[in-house]
Amino acid sequence: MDDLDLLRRMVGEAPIPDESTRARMRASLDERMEKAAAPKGRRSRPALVAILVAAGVGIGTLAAAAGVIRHWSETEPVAITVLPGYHGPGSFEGNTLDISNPEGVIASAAEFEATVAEFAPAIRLPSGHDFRPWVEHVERVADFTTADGAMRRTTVASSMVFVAECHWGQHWADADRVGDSVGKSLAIDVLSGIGVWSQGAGIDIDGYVVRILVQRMEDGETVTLQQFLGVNCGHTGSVIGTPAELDGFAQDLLTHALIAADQFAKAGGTYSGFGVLEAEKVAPVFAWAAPDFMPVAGPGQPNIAVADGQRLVLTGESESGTIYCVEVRSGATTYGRVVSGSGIDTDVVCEAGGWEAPSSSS
Amino acid sequence: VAHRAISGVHVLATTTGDTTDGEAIAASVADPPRFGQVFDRHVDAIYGYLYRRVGRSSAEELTSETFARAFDGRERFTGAEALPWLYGIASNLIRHHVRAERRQLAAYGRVASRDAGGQMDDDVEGRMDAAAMVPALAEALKRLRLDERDVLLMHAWQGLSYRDIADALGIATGTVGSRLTRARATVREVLHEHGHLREDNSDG
Repeated sequence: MDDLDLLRRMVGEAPIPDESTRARMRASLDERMEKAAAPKGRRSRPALVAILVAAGVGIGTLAAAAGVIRHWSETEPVAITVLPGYHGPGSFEGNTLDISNPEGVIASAAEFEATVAEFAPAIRLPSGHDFRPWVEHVERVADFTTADGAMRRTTVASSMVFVAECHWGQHWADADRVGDSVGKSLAIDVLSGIGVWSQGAGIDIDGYVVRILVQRMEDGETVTLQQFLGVNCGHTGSVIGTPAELDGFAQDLLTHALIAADQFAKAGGTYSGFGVLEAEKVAPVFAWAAPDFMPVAGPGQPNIAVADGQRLVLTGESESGTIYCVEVRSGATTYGRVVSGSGIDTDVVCEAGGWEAPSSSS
Repeated sequence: VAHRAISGVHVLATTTGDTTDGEAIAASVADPPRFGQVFDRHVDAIYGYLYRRVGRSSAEELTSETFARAFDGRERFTGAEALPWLYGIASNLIRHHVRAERRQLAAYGRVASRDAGGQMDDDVEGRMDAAAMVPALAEALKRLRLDERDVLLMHAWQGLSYRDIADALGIATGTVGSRLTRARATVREVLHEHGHLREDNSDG
C-alpha cells in the first residue's frame, strides 16, 4: 500500500447524496435557471454589471490589463479585477488578470509588506486611513514559514478589501458623530461598491457582512454599528480608540459570546459540544475561534478556550493587548483577564478583575 | 449517463446520447434549463468530493453554490468535459471554507478506528493498517498547503488525471506534478514521524 492507496482507504467510497439532498441542491439551480429563462426585464445581478461597465472594464478588456494594478476611482472602490481563487477554466467573470502570479505564496513579512504596498493604490480607504495597523497585526500573529500560515497574493488582496470595509464602517461612525452627512453618504456608497465586488469575487458569497453594515448605517443604529465594528474589526486598525475603549470592545465581544454560549447550553443543559461550528450557528456574525482551529484567535474574535459540562471559558483579545476572559463554573460567572502564559500548554487561567458583569446586555 | 464507482473513485462518461457537456452548456445559454443535464451528470461526483473535503454539513451548500456559479459562468465555458471545470469551482469554494475542511480533517482523525470496518475494503489486514494511519494522514493533510492539498486529493480521491487537474485549477501539467510530488513527500514524512513507515518504505 502506498500513500495514495492509504488516502483512498481513508475515505472509502464517495458518499452519494440521497434523493432529498439531491432535490434541495437541484432546487436552487432550478430557481436560477427559471430566472434566466424568464423574459428579460430585470437582471439578477445588475449592480456588478453596472459597476464593471461604468468603470469601462469589460471582460474582453481584462486580458489586456494583465498584471496591471490600477488606482481606485469614484465608481470603482476596488480597482483590482480579480476573483480570488477563481483563476482557471473554472473561473467566471474574468480571470485574476490584474494580479501577476496570483497564487504566489507570501513567504516573509517583507514580501507581505511589498504585496500590500502593491495593492494598496487599488483599494480605497477613507482619507487619512491606511493599512499599516493591520499589517502590523498580521505580522504579529502570522507564521509565514508554515503551511498554516501560508498566504497567497490573492488572499492578501481579498483581506485588504475586508480591511477597507471595516475602515469605511468606522468612517461612517466618525461622520455620524460630527453630523457630517456627506461623509456618511460617501461611506455607504463606497461600502456598497465594495460589497458588490466582494460578492462577485466570491469572498462574501451572499453579501451578508456588508449588507449588515449598510443596513445599520441606513437605520442610524450607531451604537450597534460601533459595537459591530469593535468586535469584528479590531484587528484591522480601523477602530481608533483609547485603550479603555478598545478594552471595552473586547469585553462587549465576550459578553455577547457568553450569551451565545448560554443559548446553546440552554438546549442541552451543558456547554459540552459548544465548538466553532455550533457557535457559528448561534451567532454567525462573530469570527469564532478555538484552540484546535487555525488561525489562532486575534482581536475581534471570541475564543472558546474550554466548553466542558458546566464549565465554560471564553477569551477575547483587546487591540490594547490585554486578553480578557469570562469563565462559568457550576453556575458562577467570573469576569477577568487571562493570566499571562496560561492556556498555552496548560488550562487557561481566568483571573477575576478588570471588568464586571454588564448591568444589561443589548 | 455512464457513472460507476471504482475503489471510491468516480469514473464518468460525460455524454448522454450524442450530447456532450460542452454542447449542453452551449445550448443552455439560449435555453437555460438545458444546464440541468450538467447537474444531473455530475452532482454525485461534486457532492462526493465536497463531502470528503468539508463534511456533510457544508457539502450540500457548496455543491449548490458550485453549480450556481457554473451556471452563471456558462457563457465562458469552452471545453467539452465539464467535470474538471466543476472541480475547479468547487476547490475554489473550499478555499473560503478552510475551517470546515479543518473540522472534517479533525473528524477523520477521531472516527478512524470506529468507522474503519465500514469504510475499508475486504482486506482485513490492510484495513486495520489503514485505519491506524488515518489520524496521521489527517495530520499530514492539515500540514499541506492548500494548493498541494487540492492536487493531491483530486488525484487520490477523485482519480483525476494530471491533465484534468491542470484544467480544473488552471495550472500547467508540470505544476500538477511538482505539487503532487511535494504533497506525497509530506504525507510520507508525517507517516514516518508517526512510526507508520519504515525508512525503506519510500514508494513514490
